[in-house]
Amino acid sequence: MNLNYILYTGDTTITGSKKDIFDSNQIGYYSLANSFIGSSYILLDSEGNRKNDSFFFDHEIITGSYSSTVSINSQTLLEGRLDILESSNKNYYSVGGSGCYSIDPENSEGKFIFSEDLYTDNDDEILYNYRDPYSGVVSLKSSNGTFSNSITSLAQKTNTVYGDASSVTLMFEKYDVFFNGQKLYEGDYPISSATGKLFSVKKPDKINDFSSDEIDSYGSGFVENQVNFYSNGLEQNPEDFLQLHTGVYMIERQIPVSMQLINPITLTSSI
Amino acid sequence: MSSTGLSIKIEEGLGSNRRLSAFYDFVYSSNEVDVLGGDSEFTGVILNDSLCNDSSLHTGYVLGSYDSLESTSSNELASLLSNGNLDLRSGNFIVPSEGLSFSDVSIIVDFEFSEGISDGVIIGCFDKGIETNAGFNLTGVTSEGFNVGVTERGHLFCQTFGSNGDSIEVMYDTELSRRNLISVSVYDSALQVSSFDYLNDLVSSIDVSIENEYVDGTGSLIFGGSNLYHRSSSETEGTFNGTLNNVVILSGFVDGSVLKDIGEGLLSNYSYTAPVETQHQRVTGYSETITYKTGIIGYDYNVTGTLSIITGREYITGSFTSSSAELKEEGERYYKYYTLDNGSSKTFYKEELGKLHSNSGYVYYPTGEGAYDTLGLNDISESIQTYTEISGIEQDKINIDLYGKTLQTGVLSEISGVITSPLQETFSTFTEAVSGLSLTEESTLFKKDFIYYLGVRP
Repeated sequence: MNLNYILYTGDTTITGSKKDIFDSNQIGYYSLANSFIGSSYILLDSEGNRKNDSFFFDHEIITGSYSSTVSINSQTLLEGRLDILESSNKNYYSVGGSGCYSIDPENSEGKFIFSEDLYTDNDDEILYNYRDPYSGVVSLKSSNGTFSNSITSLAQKTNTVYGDASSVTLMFEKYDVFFNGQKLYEGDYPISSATGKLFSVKKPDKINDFSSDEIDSYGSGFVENQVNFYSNGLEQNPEDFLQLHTGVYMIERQIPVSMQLINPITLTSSI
Repeated sequence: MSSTGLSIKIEEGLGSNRRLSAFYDFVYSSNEVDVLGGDSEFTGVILNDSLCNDSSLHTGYVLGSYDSLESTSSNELASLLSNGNLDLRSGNFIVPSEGLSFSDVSIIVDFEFSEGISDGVIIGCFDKGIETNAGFNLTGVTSEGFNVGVTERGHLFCQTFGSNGDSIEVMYDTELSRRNLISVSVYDSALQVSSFDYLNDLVSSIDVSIENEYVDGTGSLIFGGSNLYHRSSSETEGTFNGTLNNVVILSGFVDGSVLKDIGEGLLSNYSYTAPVETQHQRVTGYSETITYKTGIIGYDYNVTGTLSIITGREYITGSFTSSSAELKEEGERYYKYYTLDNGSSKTFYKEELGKLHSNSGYVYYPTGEGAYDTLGLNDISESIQTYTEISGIEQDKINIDLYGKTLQTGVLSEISGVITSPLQETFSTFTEAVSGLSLTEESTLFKKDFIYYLGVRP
């Protein structure tokens, strides 16, 4: 099992380690109350029918395009270009650039705009993080060639865009790399016949990004609540792990930790 | 850490230091500690900070420094404070309430675990007793205060007693770091325990319902232990495995969010940047300067050479100078030189003579028939002076200077234009004086360093 922890470490001072609690691991909330019905902005599915995704994000956290990392059911999504086709009465959204979702902070009323072929429902779990604004770099992997060649191609493309990924190693050092939503690690690639979206997203600053087969991690200081965790490349809910001080020896689960003892005061009297 | 930071935050949050009852930063300073006692019982104390409303109250007792000798007690106190904090493993820290009520107080504690976490009391003032009213012949359980501490699991807990009996509330959803700032605030019917996360800017709190009559009391605040806890039965028994970095005690209830800001002052450094003057130039007007054309204003003549013109006939000049001496025999020819100076011509002439020895007396008689013999000349020689001749031809002449013409340039009277120049003055601007607090305290101990996986474990 590959457990990948991305720990926000900050610096040596409190000021330099401060992080907004809402920047990481926010849960997209589901609501049918504020759908696109009635809105002049409409999303259509591949059949041309109105699509009604109902997951919302917090405007205060995702403030614009290309400033979020979103996963749905642990699979990380590539943010695509937001296209709006304007007509006389309605405006039609579409997600371009091979992306899976887009953000329209002005008109979507805090709603994720998923691509026409990505359907969601109440059972889905959406996690999202704020990140510094950078668009991802995507390369569509066909069945031709080896996977490592596709990785090299993505590194070259990433380097063309951002200029800091002149090798595959540098790309993995500075970027998170995903294939069809699953995080990849250098040298550990799917079979070459696999096809899909291969994309890179710039990593944030001040992090300790490490992978391990060990279940628990000790000794690396990090800011609580600012941890992203991938198990076999799939993003996990932070409820799946505890963030502690190593001095805690005793961890037991399913133990009631709040109790009130009923111990009435005994009054005795003799009349 | 700076007391200035605390002072500013107290001012911001509470308006004044009127409610600041006690503050201890546990940094050893000889004028902030003392040793009290007598009769072979001495205990080191930490005096209340001058920042407080009445610093003569709430002198804190460091039980770890207790000794029968005053000097030993003093040394032990210095040792316990040597790391800038107070190690509670050697004994509790006790602050007499001296007018403070347990049911109307707020306390901030900045503490740090020393090693692994074990359960213990951080702030303890909890006690229970039996009360008997002889008049009505009634007996009941009484209590005062509360215990706030940490569980074996590393969560904060609060232990109180009320009409329903004992109560322990655990703050199970907040994980403590190695270093933590927490607070307790109490008022009539509620006790609030808060934990401050300065890295995420969060306050986590639990509110515990209390009944005033079971909490109110005026004993001592015991940091590190309690008179009543499952691991201790008196204030002298330590329970907490860690150190105190700061303690702030305020009278009355103060909400956790305000206490978090006050606690921030404990971790901050105050800085002040004086205004900086910068000088600038600005244009106040213009001056005009007329400029004139330049061109040829005249000529200058300078000697460029000379010309010689002959004005008379040629004449011979000459002179002679002594040269070497030569031997001449009698009868041998030589020249005798004469100078000619007739006023207009200066030269010389010479006469060729035959040598006659100066000792001959110039009387000769024939001695034979040969040429020499006929003349009676002798075969002797004598040195004569020879001369070098210098001769030439001279003519009278005059020298005339030759002149060349050079152009002279300069400013003409004709105006060519006007130069406009800005007039400037110097003025100063000042940056704003900047002061404030920055959280420069080391962050490492406030971070977590252990991730425990809750998934399926192999």
